[in-house]
Amino acid sequence: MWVFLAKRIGIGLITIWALSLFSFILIQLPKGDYVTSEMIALQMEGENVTDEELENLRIYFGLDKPVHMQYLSWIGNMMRGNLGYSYAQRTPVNDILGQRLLLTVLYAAATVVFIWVVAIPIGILSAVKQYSFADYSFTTLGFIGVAVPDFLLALLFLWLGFVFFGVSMGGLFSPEFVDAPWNLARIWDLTKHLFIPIIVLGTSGTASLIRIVRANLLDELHKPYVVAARARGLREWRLILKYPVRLALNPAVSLTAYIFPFLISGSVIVSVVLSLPTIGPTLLQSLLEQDLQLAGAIIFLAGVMTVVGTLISDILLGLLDPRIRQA
Amino acid sequence: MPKTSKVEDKTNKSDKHPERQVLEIRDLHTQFSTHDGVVKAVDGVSFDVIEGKTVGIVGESGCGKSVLARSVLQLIEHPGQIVGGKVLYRDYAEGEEAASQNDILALPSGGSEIRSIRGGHISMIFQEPMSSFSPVHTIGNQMVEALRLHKPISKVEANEQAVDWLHRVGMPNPSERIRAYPHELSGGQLQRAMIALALSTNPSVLIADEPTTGLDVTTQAQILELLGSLQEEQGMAMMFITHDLGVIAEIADDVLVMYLGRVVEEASVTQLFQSPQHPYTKALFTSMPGTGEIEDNRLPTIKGSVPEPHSRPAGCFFHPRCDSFMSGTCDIAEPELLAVNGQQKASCFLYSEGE
Amino acid sequence: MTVDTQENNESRDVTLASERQLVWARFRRHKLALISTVIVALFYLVAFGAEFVAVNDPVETDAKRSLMPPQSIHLFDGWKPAPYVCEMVGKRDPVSLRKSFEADCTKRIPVQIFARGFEYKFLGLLRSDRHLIGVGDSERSQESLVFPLGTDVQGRGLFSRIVYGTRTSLSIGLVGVTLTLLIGVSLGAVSGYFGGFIDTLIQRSVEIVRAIPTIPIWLVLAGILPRDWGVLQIYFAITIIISLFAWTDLARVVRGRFLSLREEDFVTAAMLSGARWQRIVFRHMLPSFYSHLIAATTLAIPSMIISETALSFLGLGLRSPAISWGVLLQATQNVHSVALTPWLMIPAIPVIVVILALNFMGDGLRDAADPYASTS
Ligand SMILES: Nc1ncnc2c1ncn2[C@@H]1O[C@H](COP(=O)(O)OP(=O)(O)OP(=O)(O)O)[C@@H](O)[C@H]1O
Ligand code: SF4
Ligand SMILES: [Mg+2]
Repeated sequence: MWVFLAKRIGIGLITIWALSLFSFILIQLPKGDYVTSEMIALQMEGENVTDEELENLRIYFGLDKPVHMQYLSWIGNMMRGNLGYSYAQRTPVNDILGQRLLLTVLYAAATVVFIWVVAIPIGILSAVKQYSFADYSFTTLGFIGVAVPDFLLALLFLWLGFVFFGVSMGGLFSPEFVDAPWNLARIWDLTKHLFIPIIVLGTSGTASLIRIVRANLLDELHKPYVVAARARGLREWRLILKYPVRLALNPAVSLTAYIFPFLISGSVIVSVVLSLPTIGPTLLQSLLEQDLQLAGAIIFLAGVMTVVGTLISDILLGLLDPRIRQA
Repeated sequence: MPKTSKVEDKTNKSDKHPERQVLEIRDLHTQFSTHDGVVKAVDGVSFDVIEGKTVGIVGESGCGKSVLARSVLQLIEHPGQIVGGKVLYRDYAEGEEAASQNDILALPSGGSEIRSIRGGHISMIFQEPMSSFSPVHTIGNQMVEALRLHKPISKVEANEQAVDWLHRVGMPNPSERIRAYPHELSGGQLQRAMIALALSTNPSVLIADEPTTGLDVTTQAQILELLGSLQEEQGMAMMFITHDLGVIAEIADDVLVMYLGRVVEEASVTQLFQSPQHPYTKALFTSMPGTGEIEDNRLPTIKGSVPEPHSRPAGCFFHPRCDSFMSGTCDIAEPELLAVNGQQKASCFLYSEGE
Repeated sequence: MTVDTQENNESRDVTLASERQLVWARFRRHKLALISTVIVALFYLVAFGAEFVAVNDPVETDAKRSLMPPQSIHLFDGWKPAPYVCEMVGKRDPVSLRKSFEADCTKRIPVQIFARGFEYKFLGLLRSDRHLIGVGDSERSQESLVFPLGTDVQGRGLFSRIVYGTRTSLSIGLVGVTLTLLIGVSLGAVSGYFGGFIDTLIQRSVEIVRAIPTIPIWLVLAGILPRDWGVLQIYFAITIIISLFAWTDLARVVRGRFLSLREEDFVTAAMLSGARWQRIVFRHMLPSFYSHLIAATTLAIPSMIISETALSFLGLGLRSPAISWGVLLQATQNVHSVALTPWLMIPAIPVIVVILALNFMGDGLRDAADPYASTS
């Protein structure tokens, strides 16, 4: 278990490191540094800036140091929760992202729960009642779920909501709750608004998890240990839930680790279409405005979230399967 | 028909009642619908399982031994189906007179009656001990589960009994091993655990489906010995399946020889080894390593191969491979299983032609 | 140099042929996969002959026919099989000033197959003005045009734009998958053939690439492409960006196959006979699992198409004047207007149909290639 975990954590750290390099390069990409661009802006406004002042500013922002030192101080700031400064919006990144980060994590985590709660029972049912009407319907739905891209599904929901209910869906809060402090009413409002986005983001994950649970369970259902348990006199459903389902869930859990990157990815697009206050629209906005400071920070954070999510599912998997625990 | 305490009075019964049938299998038919056609895996098999005795079932791979064993407990899964026959079970624990005959196959599938028979009255052990235990549950978990299904005891008691049984089957360090996962034990140890699990509920019949195949020779001998001695202690009946005549010689009292879903010869173990009658049985003996005339040092097999199970040959199923094949007879009519030599029966025109 | 056994090769060819027949026989049993293959083939055919299938010039704008709803094609004029469409008459609401169209069936525009239409150069070579369908030759004039799926804001025919978009979107899928195949097969082959340290290194990279949230990175990469690049440059850049993260599945399939193949007799024989490794890999090993490769490749195309569509939809992929399904779907970003002009959603249909068909086809191929493998 410890070896397994150490390996996972190692890979996670390398991933984060690779992403941090990527983000840092991204931030460095605009020609000329912030101070220079700021100076041009000031000069346009008719101010007079001396070279000395400029140099002082550079030193103040640490731009005189070699690149690798800048990188170290940047990553150090990141680790301490200081996400940097958006020069385009002239606001600290922390202020821009604020609760968007929290909502992104919440959104992805809620979707994982949704996928599990929906896909596992359906997968089990489909496998146990193989070739039944229910099995065929879920299989068909599953195929469609995989084939419809998230953003099209989001569009479809928006359109249906508008045409049939005359409401424009989107957002995570009703107007009166947007800037309200957290309380029960606000959480309830959020829950109501999260429903459609979760379905949109969770559909393809649910569909593939159904397929995987079903396929794995079909593999397990006829294994000797199942026959042996049946020959012991166990009640059929209890037997299925205790043995083959338990084994079929292992790949399902490792799949969760695997879909986490997809969820964070997907949430970006879905959030743009449904205008959810997550990091997605901010990322798009920053890219369209070429605000790479902000974009870099978001990429890095999205990576960290993914790695942490993956790690959590890995730990779950280790707890579930003694063979992995030992390895 | 809940059963409680039959342990105490069971042990010495076989002495008092020498020939009591626990199981009577009558004209059992089990078939599989496959892409290629219908496979009659068990095709009209009848025999008795006698208290305290062992009936050995032998035959080449694919002749229907496992399907036969599973059919007894209604354990056939899709695409298989038990299409005919009876499995009559008599529970002597309820007393000689009260012992009513129950057709196991007539019990509603998945109902409480069949479930109390499975593992309670009739236990089963399997060929691959490693895959017959769930890899993510401990041995103890699965043993306690079986015990508590069939006995009204607490978890703690069940655990004690399980440790006790592991001790009886010769598991080293049982109180610790009970917490082991299957991958932490050797094949031999697992098979011992399997036997402990099967016998811990004091069944009247033990069905053993090739329990020693895949184990090394020494372990194989130890397991056979263990089964023999436990049978003596418990007085249970045993249905022992193998494709190895050597194993039959060691453990069986009566023997059924199967070929393509049918019994082709039935005899006591002494009769069978002294004078095998059916040409297939004779061929089995010739192909056994260490007996018969072995030409080179390869493992000899019966000439030809087993026909496709969904298209068995006309007439006697064995005729394409038979040395005594009689054209015009064997490829036209199907021989019946008839007495040839006292208790010994064979289905072959060599013995029934004249009648 | 090599004693590359002629005999050995011949027997391989025999087994390969029969393997291929076996796979084909198994594939034919999957009805859904078979139908899907036909659908996919049709789509690629449309992509190939886009100019011929298109009814109108996809870039010709006309403010007068902005946002015209689809015209239905009537097949019979009374009892006579004479296909026609009704002319659309535009009216402007005096209050809202919104323009709306109504079909006026007193004016019928005849429709025929292989009609003359706008001029094009097929594959940049053949000059022609024949189209699959179009306005009957007798009625052909600037005023009578047919728009089977209506028009967009700038009055361009949606049907023709979808047809041209098919070419872009499907070819991005193909080009991208080729790139992916190159990366995936090389890395997978090297990993599985040499094993050891190289294998570990590549396996770890695969895990890292898989753990990276791709869409944000795509967005960023697409977002930093120079604004002044031309359509073709953007096209290839987007394809490369999409392929950058898609190769891991293929690499995994190839590696697994190689690991098991290494133990096979014919590979050992080739190794012992001193053949160079390139020869072993490309002559002996890869051909023995073509069908797996084709299946994995087919299953990789849908995600390419989705990626392109999503990127373009967000405005970070292909941009007008390029025509792709994603570019067309950009028009649906504003729900309020889509509610009035629902036909602008139509480009979503080919996206979904093609993805479904490719998935079914790939699944069928995979089952046929390896009937015993589990789906996981
Ligand atoms: N699930 C199944 N589906 C289709 N056919 C089956 C199935 N299980 C068994 N059979 C068929 O039933 C026949 C008998 O199988 P069985 O497993 O009883 O053989 P066996 O005598 O136990 O062989 P072995 O020594 O290999 O265990 C075989 O020919 C097989 O084709
Ligand atoms: S019936 Fe004929 S073919 Fe069959 S075993 Fe007897 S002699 Fe051989
Ligand atoms: Mg068997």
